Amino acid sequence: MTRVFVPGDAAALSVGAEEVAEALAREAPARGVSIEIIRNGSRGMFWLEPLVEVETAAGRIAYGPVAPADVPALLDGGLLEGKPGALCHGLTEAIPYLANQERLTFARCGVTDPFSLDDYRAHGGYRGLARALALTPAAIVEEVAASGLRGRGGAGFPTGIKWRTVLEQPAGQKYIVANADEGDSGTFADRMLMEGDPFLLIEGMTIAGIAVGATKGYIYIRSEYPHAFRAFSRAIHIAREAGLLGERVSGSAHAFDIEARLGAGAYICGEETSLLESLEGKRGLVRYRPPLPAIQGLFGQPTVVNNLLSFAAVPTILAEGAAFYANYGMGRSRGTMPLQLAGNMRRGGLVEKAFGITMRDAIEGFGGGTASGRPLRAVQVGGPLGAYLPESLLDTPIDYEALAAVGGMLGHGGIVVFDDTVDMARQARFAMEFCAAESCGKCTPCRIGSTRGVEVIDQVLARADVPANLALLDDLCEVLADASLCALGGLTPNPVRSALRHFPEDFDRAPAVTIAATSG
Amino acid sequence: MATITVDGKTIEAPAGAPLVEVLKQNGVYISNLCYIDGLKPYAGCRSCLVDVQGPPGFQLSCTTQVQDNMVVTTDSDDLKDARKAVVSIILANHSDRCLTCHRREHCHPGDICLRDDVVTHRCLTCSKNYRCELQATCEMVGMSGYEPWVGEERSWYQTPQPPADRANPYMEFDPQMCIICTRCQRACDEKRHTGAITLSGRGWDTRIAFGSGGAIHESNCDFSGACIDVCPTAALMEHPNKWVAKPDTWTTTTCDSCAIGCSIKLGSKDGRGNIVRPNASGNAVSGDQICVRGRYHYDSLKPRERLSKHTVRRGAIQVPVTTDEAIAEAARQLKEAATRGRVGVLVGATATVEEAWLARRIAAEAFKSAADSALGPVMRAVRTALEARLGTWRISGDLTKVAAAKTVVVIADDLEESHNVLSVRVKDAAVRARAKVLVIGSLRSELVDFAAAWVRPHGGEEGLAAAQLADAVRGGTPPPAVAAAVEILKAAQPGETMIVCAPNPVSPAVAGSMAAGAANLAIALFGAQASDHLAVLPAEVNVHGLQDVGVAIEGGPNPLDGLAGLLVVRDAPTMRLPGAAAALDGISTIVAIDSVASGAVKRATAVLAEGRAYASAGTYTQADHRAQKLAPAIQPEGDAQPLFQLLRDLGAALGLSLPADADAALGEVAAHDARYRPAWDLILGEGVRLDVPTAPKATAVPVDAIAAGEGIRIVTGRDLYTALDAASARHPEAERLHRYDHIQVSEQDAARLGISDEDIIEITDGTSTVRAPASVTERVREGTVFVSSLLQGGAVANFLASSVIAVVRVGVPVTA
Repeated sequence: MTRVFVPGDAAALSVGAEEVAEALAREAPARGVSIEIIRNGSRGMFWLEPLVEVETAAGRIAYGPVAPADVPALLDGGLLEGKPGALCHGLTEAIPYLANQERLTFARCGVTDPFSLDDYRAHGGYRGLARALALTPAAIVEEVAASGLRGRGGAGFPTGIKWRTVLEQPAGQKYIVANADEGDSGTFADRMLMEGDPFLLIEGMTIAGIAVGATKGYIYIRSEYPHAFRAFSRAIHIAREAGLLGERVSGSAHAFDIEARLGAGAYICGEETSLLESLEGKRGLVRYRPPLPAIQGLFGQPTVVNNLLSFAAVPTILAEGAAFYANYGMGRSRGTMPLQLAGNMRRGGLVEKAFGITMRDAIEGFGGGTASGRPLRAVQVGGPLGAYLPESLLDTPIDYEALAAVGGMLGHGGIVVFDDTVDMARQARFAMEFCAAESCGKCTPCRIGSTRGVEVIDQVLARADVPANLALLDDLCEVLADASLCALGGLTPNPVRSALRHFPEDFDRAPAVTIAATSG
Repeated sequence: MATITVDGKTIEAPAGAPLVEVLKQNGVYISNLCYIDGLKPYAGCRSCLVDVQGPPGFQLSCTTQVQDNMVVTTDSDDLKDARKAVVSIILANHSDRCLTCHRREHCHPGDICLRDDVVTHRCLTCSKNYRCELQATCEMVGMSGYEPWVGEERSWYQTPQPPADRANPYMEFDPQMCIICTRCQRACDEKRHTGAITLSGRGWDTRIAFGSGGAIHESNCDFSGACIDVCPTAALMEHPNKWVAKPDTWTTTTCDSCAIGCSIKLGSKDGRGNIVRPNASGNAVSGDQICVRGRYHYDSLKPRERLSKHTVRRGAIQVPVTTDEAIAEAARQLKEAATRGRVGVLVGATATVEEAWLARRIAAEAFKSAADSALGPVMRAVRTALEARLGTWRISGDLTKVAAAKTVVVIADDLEESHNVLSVRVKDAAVRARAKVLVIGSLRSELVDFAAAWVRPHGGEEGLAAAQLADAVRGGTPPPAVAAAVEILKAAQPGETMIVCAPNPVSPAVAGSMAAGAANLAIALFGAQASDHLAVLPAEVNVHGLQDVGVAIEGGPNPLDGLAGLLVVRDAPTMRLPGAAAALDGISTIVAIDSVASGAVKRATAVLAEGRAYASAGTYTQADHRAQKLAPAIQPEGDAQPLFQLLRDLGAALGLSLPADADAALGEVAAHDARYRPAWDLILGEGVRLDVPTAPKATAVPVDAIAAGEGIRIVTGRDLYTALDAASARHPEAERLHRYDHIQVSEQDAARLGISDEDIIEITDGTSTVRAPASVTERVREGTVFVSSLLQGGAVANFLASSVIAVVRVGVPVTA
């Protein structure tokens, strides 16, 4: 029986994967062939979705993007034998986009059946946990520290140090919290992983729990990800049934269980303290620090709050050793980073590469430049609060420090591309607007300052006393950056100031003129 | 202790203390618009910036904890600029000019408007002008006169805000003035444990909201005004006297509304009160909290509704007379009555110790009688119950221990309503000390939400239920329904347990039974130390003070029986005693001293107008024997005189030599009762706890079931909102929210009898009848109705003539 892979990932579903699977299930028996359709995760090549793969002796052959109407012709053209033809891209693994990546975290994503533990184990799963169970908690923490893993949520704080802090807290109830409130523009890695390789995350969180002495883990999943929530909840159930979660993890003396919680629908709930408040059932108001969550976190107990991708990197580190992981990367940024190419991008998708790849390599090499074919004008890395960088800085390597040196930040690894039709003054306005809408409402600069920022930029856009208003805007940015309670208000000036610095011409002319001039 | 340096000065402060509090206590100004002393920092306003040597950037002084050798700068130019920048952002969204004018959008600064006023800047049209924390902050950080909109077309903020909520009689909420500091929300939640205030919306649309976003009076707000105390702007304001509450005098005195005796600051202008604030340093039980009564009942009646003239009855009318004439006539009448028979003296429990002392001396020396009180039968029932078990009625439990107790037992009709601030302390224990709270009461009080167990006896059987729990603790087998309660009691530890009993204020039988049950329970748990763990809260503020000077110690079941003449000293027999109106009609000479037109005043042959408690100097002895000072905070209206002065002059006219002032009177009290010596010696401070030793005995005496007939029982008690003096005058707005001028009916009975909310219903025992709108509620248990003790001038007292629990028929009146 031929095995055919049709992704069950939300990105593939959104472009008709379900209909494609139905068409295959209908058309193949009609031709007298029996097939097994496996709903895998996504390979992260979104311009090819729905990507249908057929298992052949030579390997998996990729076809995409497949529309339901294409199915009869594809079957008749020898799809099940992996014959080349229209929509065929040959061996999946040989597609340059995939072949040129260094997939550690996403190694299994799109390859396996996300809900098959056997499949997960067959592809190297649960080796990390097995090793962790043989180590002392302190040794696990040291392994993670030695790997150089830094928080993948944006701040880049060394994961090992955070874990050590929690480990050193007096015994008592401790918690593991995975932040899957993935709200940055152009990011989807968390969702892909929850839907495409959920056991990896369960394994990573379990290792964290064993390392710091926490018996309970929560994963806070963005409310806009109902599909991922269902998928991950299902995976938790399977793991629990298999004894991989519960009173005795894998038959060991360690207890660990995970509860999936649906988010409250606010960007700010991705901020770790706000997330903890929300998990506690309260309004997602940011907490002041100290105390750090590692000391007083969820319900006032020591808590490891990490981005989902940080936990997902851990099984590899334990299974292959810290040195293996640390061997990737550059400078103080070790390992690989799942980059997410989005925006005006020809080949949007997930690119996992070791730190050190330049933005140009990612955008032009993998992404193939703008989707519109027009010249690239600006790139925003790290979500809506990341700086706007001009084309001239594209050779900056993807590295926490190198990006910071040019005023940028890596954030969660989202890269959004704009072509030359973009009005950067409008983009600066959007940053303020975003802050005004998504502020938790607690601190003055963020709540009121951002609205004031929108107004001042509106004045600039209306060409009213531009120099005075730009000076006022600069003052506002300073207050936001210096006096805000959390990173939302503190980083909002990033896109505004970088737009002002790199694209000053957009602030000195009326918006209509901007568009006319650049498109002429 | 830690030593820190602030702007070059050395300051000693406790290590770990919030820096902002240390700065304020040491006279260093620091703007802070969201911090509340004693609560966790919020860190929202961002204006309390300081520079702490070491960490980069500026720090918030609210979240910074004092550490030894810390070096702090508060006054560098950079800091001042940063603070100004933050405040300027707050001001950018604070309403400014001509807020209250509908024409504001047509005017520009400097215009002359139709009212012939210059169009004002910012605060001039705000009710909180000159007493606003935001305004003061702007001045202190050097921003007065700051104009966020210079050079722009508009001069006001164009974000539409929800309309102001002015729909209740107590407080106003104007979102336009709000700076979202959330102090109100945290005070309501963390200080009051009410949680009526919440944040709604997010980002720019974040708003303060009450309940689920509706009107204040539709939320669970109990109008304590704790939010008003902390509001830095005019967003939350008292409704009464909102525009005029700019006192010329602040007087520290004691609230007269219940036996907790909260210390208050009463602000007055030209002798009339216009605002009340809690006085945090006065009474350790109340601290910085008061309740709706303390905050608003200074204003329960308008000045013109109080007595301002002394009168003498001539035929059918009361004729105004001068003070001298009135005193002479009153003395003449009483002397004449004394020749005909017994002259009684009734003293109300809001009279001070000193005033009660004078009344007692007048009774004893002029009329050879014992001064009594309309509350006398209830007081004696409680006293008898306590003396039988503990050997004294002076119970030694200290109410300041409630907030930190690990186990609290509440035996009351509804403590939340009768002694509100103590109920807050019980909640403190439940929330902060994680205490187990056991509520014994027929009414579903708000405390039930905080209780680990609730025993719900039938109406009037609270004392019996407590006594049965005492028996179960001693070894009996508890019924399964109360097993949880018995477990809590068995785990209660000495030294960290308080039993709080608030006996019923109307029925002597029920009140005595409650006190007896509470005493039995304390004895069962703590034996000889029982009284140290017990507090019995009287029905009115100075019941203990009255008893201390010998008022209401002796007396029969009805103080109005067999009198030829009666002197009523700010007392309300018609509110307390069954059949009082008819009994008063039968007494030919009645001299009434009061500030309102009470039932006794209306029937008096001579009326002396006095100025209510807030015009008095003196002492209240509250529930746990704290002697709290009163200072004259207001002027009596018109010809009215302070009560003490009237009694002294009346005594003189009766031929007695009475002390000249309250201080001298307290000296006499102290000579008579040495326990009052510290109160007399008190020079600084608002109160002192009198010495109350552990009770001399601890012997449980069985508590009998009170006989009750078949039918629906009346449960009564003090409600939170009704003003005592306004109820005494039967003022239609005595209860301004109009919640407790209803008869509360259980859902089950209402369904059975076909009663809906607001139906006019009637309760009757065949002799007495009360008619009022119905309120169907889960607060009352099936088979009972709740009638406030102050409804319709205390009409419920008429049902309680005997020592049985009153039973009535309930129904919709038949109309012809």
